[in-house]
Amino acid sequence: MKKSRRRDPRRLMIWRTIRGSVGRYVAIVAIIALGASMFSGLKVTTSAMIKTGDKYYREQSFYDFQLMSTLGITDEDIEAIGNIEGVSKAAGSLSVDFMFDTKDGTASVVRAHMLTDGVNDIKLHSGRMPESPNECLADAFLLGSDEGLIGSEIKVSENNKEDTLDLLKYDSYTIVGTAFSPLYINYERGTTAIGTGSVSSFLLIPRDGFDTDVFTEAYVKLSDDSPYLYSDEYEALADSFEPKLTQIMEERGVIRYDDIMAEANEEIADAEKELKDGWEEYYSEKADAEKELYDAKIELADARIEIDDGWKEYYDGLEEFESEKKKGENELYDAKRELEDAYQTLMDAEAEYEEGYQEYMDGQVDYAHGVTAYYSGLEQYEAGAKEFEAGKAQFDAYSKQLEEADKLLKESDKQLTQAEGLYSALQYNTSSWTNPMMIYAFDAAMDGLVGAGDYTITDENLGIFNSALGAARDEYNKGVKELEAGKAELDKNLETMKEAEGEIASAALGLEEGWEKLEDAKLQLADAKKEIEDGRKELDDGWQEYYDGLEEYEDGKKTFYEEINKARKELDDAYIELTDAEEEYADGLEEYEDGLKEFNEEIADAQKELYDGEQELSDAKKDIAEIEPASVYVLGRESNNGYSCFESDSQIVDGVARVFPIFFFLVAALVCMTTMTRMVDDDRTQIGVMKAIGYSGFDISKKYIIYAGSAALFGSVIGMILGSWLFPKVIWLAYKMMYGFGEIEFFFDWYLAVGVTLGYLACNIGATLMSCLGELRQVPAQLIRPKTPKAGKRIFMEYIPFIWNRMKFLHKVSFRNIFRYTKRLIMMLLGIGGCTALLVTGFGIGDSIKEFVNYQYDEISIYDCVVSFSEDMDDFERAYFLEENKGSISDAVFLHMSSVEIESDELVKSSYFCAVNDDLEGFMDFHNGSRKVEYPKDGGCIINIKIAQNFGLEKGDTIKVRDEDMNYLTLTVEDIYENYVFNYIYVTYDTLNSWNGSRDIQCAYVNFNENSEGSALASVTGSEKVAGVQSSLDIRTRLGNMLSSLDFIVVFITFCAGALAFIVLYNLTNINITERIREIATIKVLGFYPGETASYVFRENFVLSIMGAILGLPLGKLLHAYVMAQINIDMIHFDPRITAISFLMSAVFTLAFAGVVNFVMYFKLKKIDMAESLKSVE
Amino acid sequence: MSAFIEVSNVCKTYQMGEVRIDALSDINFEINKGEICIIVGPSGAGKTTLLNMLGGMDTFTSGKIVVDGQDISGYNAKQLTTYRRYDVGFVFQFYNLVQNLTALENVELANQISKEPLDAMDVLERVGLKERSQNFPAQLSGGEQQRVAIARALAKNPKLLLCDEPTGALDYVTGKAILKLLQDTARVSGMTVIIITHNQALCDMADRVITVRNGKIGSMKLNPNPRPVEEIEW
Repeated sequence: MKKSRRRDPRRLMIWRTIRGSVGRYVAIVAIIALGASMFSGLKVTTSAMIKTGDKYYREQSFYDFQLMSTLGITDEDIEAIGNIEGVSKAAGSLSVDFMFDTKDGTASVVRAHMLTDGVNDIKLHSGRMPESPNECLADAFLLGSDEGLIGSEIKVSENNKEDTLDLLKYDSYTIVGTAFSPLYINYERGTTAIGTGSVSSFLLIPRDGFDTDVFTEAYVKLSDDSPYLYSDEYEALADSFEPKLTQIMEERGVIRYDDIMAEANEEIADAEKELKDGWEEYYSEKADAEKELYDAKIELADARIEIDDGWKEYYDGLEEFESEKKKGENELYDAKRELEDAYQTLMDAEAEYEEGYQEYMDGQVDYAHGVTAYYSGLEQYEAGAKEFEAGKAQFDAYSKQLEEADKLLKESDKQLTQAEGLYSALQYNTSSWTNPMMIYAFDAAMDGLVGAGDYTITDENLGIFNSALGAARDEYNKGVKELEAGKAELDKNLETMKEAEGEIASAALGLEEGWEKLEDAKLQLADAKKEIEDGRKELDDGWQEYYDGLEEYEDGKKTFYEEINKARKELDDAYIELTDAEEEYADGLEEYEDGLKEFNEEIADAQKELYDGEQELSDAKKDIAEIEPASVYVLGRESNNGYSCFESDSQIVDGVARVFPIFFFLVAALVCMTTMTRMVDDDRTQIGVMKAIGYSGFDISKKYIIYAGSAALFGSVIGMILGSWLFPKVIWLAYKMMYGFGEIEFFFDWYLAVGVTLGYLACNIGATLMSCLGELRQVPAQLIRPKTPKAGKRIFMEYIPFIWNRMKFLHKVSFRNIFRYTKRLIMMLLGIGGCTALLVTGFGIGDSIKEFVNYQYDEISIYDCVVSFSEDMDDFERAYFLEENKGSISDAVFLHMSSVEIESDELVKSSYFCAVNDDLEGFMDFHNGSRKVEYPKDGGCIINIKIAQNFGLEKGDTIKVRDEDMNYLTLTVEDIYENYVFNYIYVTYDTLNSWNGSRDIQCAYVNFNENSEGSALASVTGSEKVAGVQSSLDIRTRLGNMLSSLDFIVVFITFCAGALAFIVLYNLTNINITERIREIATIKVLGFYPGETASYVFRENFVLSIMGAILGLPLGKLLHAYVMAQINIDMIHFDPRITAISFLMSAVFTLAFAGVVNFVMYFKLKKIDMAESLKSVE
Repeated sequence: MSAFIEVSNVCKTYQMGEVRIDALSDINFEINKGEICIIVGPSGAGKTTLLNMLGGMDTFTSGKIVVDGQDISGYNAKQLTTYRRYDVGFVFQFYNLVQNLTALENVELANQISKEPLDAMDVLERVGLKERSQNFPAQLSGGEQQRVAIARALAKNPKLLLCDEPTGALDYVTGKAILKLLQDTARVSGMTVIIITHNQALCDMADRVITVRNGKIGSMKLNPNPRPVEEIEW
């Protein structure tokens, strides 16, 4: 050591020490800076956030109390509240949720607030303030970046409730600007009882844009210098003020109630009067109208009779006309017929005449013929008489002839009969043949018969005889016959002769008569001629008469038709006249009937109106009777979602900050302590020399203390400044996405700064001092000799031969080494275990934040979307809805869903209130852990874990809920189920019916057909009566986006954990190697290859890393559970689940860090110079 | 027969900034197999550097060293390690035992990496520490520790045993015993032993004495009648 003139060698030594080991010094400073910045950074972030919030709320004059009364708040109420001591500002305000028509045709709900002055001041973001009452400001936070928003109109939907429409003065409001409101510092806009159930954004409307005298709420601001945001002092102040406000509100409530009752009763009286007047007017007007109608009716009846008479006359006339016409026609016809008959008769007579004439002429001819015939007849008669005389002579001659023939024939017969007797005798008596008599006889017979000859009697002759006999006989018969005929002819001639004799006599007589007849005909002809001449004359007279008659007929016919036509015309005229009259009558009747109908309708309307009026009046009376005394509500800031959320979000940071910084602080302290200890150890010899020279212990230690102390100081200062600036800034970057605040307010926590600095100083200096004291306790002689290496010792494992004997030799060495340095072992385990634990926590927070959405929608809310309808759905409408969407939805369950407030003495939280009778199987999976949660029975409910936790509820406890109209319902908690997003209370439909609140079934859980999400959504949205559709996928995405800012914190934590692991491992491995450099050199000398050397050294590190990681996993789980318990966000329940992959990742990361460190160290090992390291200690 | 170790023209130069320091220059000597060789010289003469080079722990700038036919001068780090591993045993002044291992285990540590190691227990018995085999170095005296170190070196069954001031940290009697052990070992096993010492008195026990001075070989002489250690006094 050189001696300096000016400088104390000791100081010089410090400087040189620092300069000589810049790396180490800087490392210590850096580690401390890192520790301090992380510690302070995380710690102050919460404070910085709250400071930012405080500044913001203060600047915007955020309210301290929100007052509400079921009967509304009047200006007098406001004045009374403003007069309370301590209240700096009380302002009435209005808010109303209404649906507006969006561009795509769906209805969205917006919450309109009144612009207030002096409390809840807004910050104009773009555009200008409203100047006329129908202008408004839009939500800058959600819509501030929408182009074309300013100047557009918000159209109030007609589907809104009447109350709502009444409250709004205009049908539409023009957006003239966007603004931030302290009522909404984050994205959450709350829930509503109308439409889709969630408010899409807020709207700020001037006072005159509302049409009411009564405020819906009042905001109270205490004083401008109220205590710090979220501070206990604030809570205390608020708590102390609440009773005062409650009291005044209740007092005012009574006054308000009385006013309302008085006003209402007055109105009722007015209404009653009005109704009575109405009835009177009704009756008088009704009587008038009835009279008028009656007159009209009479007039119509008269007209009817007249027309009917006319008709009768007409028809009579017509009938007469017809009959007359017929009669005339008949007459004409008869006349005509008569004429025709006369004509015919004449013609017949003419013919007859002609015939008579002809007959006459024929008679003349016949007469002439008769005369001629008479003369010829006479001639004939005379010839005939001569002929008869001749004939008589002829007859007499013939008669004589016949008498002779008859005699001959009688002779022949006699002969023949003899011959035949002979023949028979001969024939039967042959013996006689010889009898000569006989022979003679025979011969004679023969001669006579056959001819002359000598004929003997022989057979042959006998034959001839017989045949000749036969022929003769025949001839005889023939002669008989001929005679007979001759006799007959003679008789006949005799007759004829007699006739002719008569004829001649009669002819003679006829001729005589003919002559007489001719004489008669001659007379007759003369008569006929006279007759004919008379007929001709008669005929000519007839013709004359006929033609006269014809002329008369024609004249009559002509006259008749003229008359007929005239009558026809007259009748037709009458008909037209009557038809016109009929038409006129019909018009009159119609007019009358219309009048009657109108009258009836008007009467009915008037009556209905009057009855309605009566009903209304009675309803109003009932309503008035039902008006309950005002219920008043005094709500603090915590009922504002943004306020609470910001607190809970800052709590997330705080929750993280509660655990993590300590790790960093400790690790940094640990690393510094080991480094300093090491440094003192290294300087052992030097310390010995100094001590031997005679320096005091303090003098010697001072160097190290200054070294360590300055490093701690620098590190702390740098770290504090850096941390207080960087951490809030970085974390705010993430939160700014969610909150509409300005830039972060920096916050420097002096106490923290001093504390941290002192802490590091204490650690560093303490460690250094301890080491120094340890060294200084020894005598210089010991010190200048190398430190006795720490004795080896057996480890517990060696007493378990079963394990030990099976281990490889080198493994044994490693294990013994692991347990050789207990301090280092613990440090390694803590460091690495802590690192793993931090990683587990980091990943775990990520899991909890990210996965709860998945848990929610994969395991609990398994429906695909919630559909809300514009009104209560009856069975038909439900069936229709299902039918309409048959193609896109597979299943749906309809239920009642409304939002309620859960109330306890301390707490009010909102929740969805669902009632359903159907099974929710397939839509919701109620479970708690692996246990299935049963749907509640009537009067009971099931609630989600978050509600149970918030209100400290258990199975069997009761829970009180109310709707916005203050209808209360007390339910028994039957079970508690897991649910992560929002609060839901499920009850049965009967339970719902026992409640006074809304009972509409206006929601449905819907499951889509597979792979039809997009089209199904569109289909369902477009269905009738559908007011809104909220797809689970959508919420998932939205929540995902919302929470992605928290990912940042996760990455941040992971990064910190990694950094920590690296520092610890590097440091400890480094120390390990430095301390064992001789040992390592030795084994190198022994001929261990670099790989073997590394594994000899690093096996321990590796085993320790694994052990540390194993230790860190459960530790991480605990840490994670702790951190998650610190994070309390409204409406969301984080599941303290950590996925297996996160555990695995944490372990792998830890081991990977260890690997990287070992890899870096490998080169250091390789560089170890054996010769140098093993050099004899001087 | 050629020498077991041939060192020819070996130089070792350190370049420190602009200054060139010749640690060793132009070293030449030979050692036969089975010889006990003592390298003697004052502190800083370069004895240890020479030994390190022979043992493959250190490199040299130029020259050539051939040990049992292998030229180690051109060896890379890995080859040198292999050479150390199988052919060389080291004994140091400060023993350099692994504190965390028992006497036996220290010997076994060497055994682990050798081709034909001797039985660790046998070797310990040879150095007279059978009873202390389960003791940790801290529980042994300096002499005992050095015996363990020697046992460790021997257990590898090397061709060459290099001892750097083996008695430097020991008292006279103990030192003598260690030297005797080394001498006996060499005589019994025929191992080539090289001992570094600054004690001239020890030269009598060697077959060959090499004197180093200022990085150069001062002299090399053969001792035809080496004396047993017991007879040497210093």
